Amino acid sequence: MGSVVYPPVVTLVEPEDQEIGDPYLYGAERLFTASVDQTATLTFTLDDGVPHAYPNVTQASHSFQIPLLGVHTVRVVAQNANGSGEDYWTWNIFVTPPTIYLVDPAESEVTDPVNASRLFTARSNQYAIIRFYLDGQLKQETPVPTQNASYFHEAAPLGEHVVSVVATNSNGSGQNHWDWNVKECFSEGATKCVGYDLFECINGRWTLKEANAVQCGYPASPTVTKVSPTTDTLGLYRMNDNPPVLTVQVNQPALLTLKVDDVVVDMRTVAQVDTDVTFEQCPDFIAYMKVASHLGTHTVSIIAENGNGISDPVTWQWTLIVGIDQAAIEFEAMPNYIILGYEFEARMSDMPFFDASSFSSPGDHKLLIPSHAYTNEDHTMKKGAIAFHRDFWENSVHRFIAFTAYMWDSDGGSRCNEPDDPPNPCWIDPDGRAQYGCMKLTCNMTHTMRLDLRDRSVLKACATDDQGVWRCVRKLPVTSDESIVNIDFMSEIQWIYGQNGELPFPTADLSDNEIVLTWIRVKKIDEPESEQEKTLRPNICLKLRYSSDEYPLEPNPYNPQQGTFGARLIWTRREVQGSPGEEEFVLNFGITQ
Amino acid sequence: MADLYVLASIPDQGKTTAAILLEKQLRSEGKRVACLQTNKGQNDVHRYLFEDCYHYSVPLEAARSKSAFEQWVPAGYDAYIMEITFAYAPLRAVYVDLFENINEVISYDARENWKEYVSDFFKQLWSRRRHGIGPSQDLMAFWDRVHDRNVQTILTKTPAVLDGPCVGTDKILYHADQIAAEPIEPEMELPKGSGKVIAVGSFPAEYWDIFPSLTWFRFDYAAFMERLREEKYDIAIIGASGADKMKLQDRPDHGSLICYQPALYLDLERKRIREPLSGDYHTLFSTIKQQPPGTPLCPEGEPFCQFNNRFWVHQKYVSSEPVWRDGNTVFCNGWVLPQYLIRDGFLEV
Repeated sequence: MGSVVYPPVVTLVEPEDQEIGDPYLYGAERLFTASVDQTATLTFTLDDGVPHAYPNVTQASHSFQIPLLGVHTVRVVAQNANGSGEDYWTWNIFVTPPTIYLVDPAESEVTDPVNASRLFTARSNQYAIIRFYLDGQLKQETPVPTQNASYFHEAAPLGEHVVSVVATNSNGSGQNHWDWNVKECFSEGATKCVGYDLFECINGRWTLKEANAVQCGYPASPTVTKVSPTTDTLGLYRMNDNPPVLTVQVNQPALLTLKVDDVVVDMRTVAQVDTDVTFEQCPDFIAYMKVASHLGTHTVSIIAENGNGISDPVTWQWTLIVGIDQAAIEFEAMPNYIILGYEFEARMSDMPFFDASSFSSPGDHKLLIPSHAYTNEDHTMKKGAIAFHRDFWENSVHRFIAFTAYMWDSDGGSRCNEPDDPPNPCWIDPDGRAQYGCMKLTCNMTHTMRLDLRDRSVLKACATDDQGVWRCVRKLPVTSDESIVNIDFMSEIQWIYGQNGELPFPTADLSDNEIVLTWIRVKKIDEPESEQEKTLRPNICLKLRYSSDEYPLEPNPYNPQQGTFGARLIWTRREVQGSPGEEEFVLNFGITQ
Repeated sequence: MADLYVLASIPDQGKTTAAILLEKQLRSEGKRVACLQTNKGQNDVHRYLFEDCYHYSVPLEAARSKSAFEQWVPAGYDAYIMEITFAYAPLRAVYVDLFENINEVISYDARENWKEYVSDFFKQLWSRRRHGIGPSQDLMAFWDRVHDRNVQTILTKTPAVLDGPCVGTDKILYHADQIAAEPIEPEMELPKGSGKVIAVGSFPAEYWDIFPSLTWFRFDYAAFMERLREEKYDIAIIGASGADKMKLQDRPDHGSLICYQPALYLDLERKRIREPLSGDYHTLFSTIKQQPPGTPLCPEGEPFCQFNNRFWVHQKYVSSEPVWRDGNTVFCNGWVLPQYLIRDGFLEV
């Protein structure tokens, strides 16, 4: 079998690329390294020059001086008994264009004041025509090739400029440049006045910051500051509330204007500076609040105005909501008595809840609560009430056809009875549906009702049905040591004023709505055990809350619960017929304008 | 009529040495001698050329019949020596089958159990191949067929001179007169060209007949390239070598270039065998003998698929054609004889 011949194979090691290029540089050298896959003589030859041989090597290096411009070949031949192989580099020697250096200023960033003169000097490493450009526009060129050139600019123009310098000869062009920043001012943020106008130093230029600036002697506008409230919001105001009380100060004599949005509601001339000025009970503000279309959130503002100008406004956010009227009367136990329950007759014929317009939405704010029984001094811990519930069923728009009892717990939730207590159903609604946990009470009847702690673990609200039978309409669990500390009768109505600020319903005849507090079930603390629980007339064991023991049934003018608003509750006392010394308490509800 | 001395064997038996010694002996007797090889080409041709022998390759299609064979053997020589390696393998047995008289070259050490030695040789050869031996591949299928003729043994590497023809360890051929000769009538006439031709590496030596002025640089590729850069030639022939990784950077800008190692200029994928032979040797044998040249010998990916091309030449690389032109360069992926290139218009004489 014949033997295959393996001639030596040359590999270019360094440079690895076969095509290389170097700029012409007199006297410079480049090192070439090649390897061979078997021991051989490696011979390096530049073009047709003298071969440089390295015998019996597998790798060799040889330096050649950079030859003249043009394309050259460095050939490497590997030769041994097996034959020869070759490879070569293509070596391109090229010219370099002139390089131009910045001499003066040496840094490429140059800053000058406007209108200053400036000399730019540059140097080329080769003889060349040297041209200077300002923002791309030729400004100067040397008449003959040179290495050094300068350009003189007499008055520096404001702004950011580029001065470029280009050296051109047969080898090409080299370029360099200065960034020339010419400024009017050097301290950024500094200010100065020109007349009444204030200028600020921005990016080296005096830039108008404010015309007619106070800082430059221009008379200043007045300034209003909040004294009270200092908050940004005034909160919710009911249509029948007083307008917010607003206190401000102004630093110059001025005319103060109070506005709701763009509507002026008051004006006040103020001569005394830096003194509290209070807006309250402004008639136009009150009138504004009576307009139904004004419900919602507004901006209340106060501005000051005088010959120096108009101040910035001080503002508050303010929200107008529907009106509310409330009146109440409260009783508590006379000393030595503990209230365990009470009974009253309610006759409701002409209630203030007159029509749907009385409410912001049907089903809302529709309670008349003839009586609460509080088991705690804290009203937020109230438990249990009998309430008349406005019913919007058919034909109910103008008339109450039904009332139901209501009850709530100290957690705020209303409680219903279980379906089996009272025995079901307590009544059938007009659609024939059985209703549990409530009891139909009609408006034109006199209902007898009571709230009591009959078995000391449940507070029950009960009413007699049309057969005169007591039925439980609500019940709430209580702890055994709880007792009723407060009996409360009240009316409450929320409404929106009509177009002209009038109440949206007629006044009522108070005599048509009457509650008669008839009996109080009490425990007398100092009585023998067997006789402790008894039922007494109200005048025996109740006093008006907050009244003195000396005059227990005289209304206390400081009791805020006894209303003075449009919805009225009037109470009187009358002797029980045939029982001298025993009095019933009579409470009449209604609306008086 | 001329004498053809067929030397058949397996590799490493000293066959080429015996052939060259026989060539020298015959030449010394004043005879014009031509050395023939099967179309295996590049591995051996340089040995004949180094010895100034006339060398010719006989393509596979010539093994279809003796008359076909005679058309591929150059006329005008007194004696012919043909070396057949792998003589018992199908692509070589087709040549042996042409002749009544052959010589079997056996090294002295292998002489006593020669058949077993040949069998072991083929087993080892194929067991080294990753794809393995096919189920119907009988490695000794042609043993009897090769021996079913007049077979003269030539012992080689003999420690002493023996009675029959032999080559001693002293590299001397003895009793050459006893070497069996086959009468043939060669008919091939190669055209003669006057072009200026330069060559390097292993290349078909027929070019030397066609272009008598051909200059061969042996395996000095660097000297060859340098000469090619310096002088203009009509044809430059770049032959093959074992330096697979060698790359040549430039091609002549004049004349034409015929390149037998395309990887010198191109990045080509090696042709791989992945499957064992699915057919059998007898089918391969009859395909060569009976089907038109270029008929595929086996499915792609199997042994011998490298010969699936229109010239039945061994293709080392993957290429759609065994010969293609790229500018002034003709690339030959395989030992494509100049006769084929002339026939197909790739070479003008």
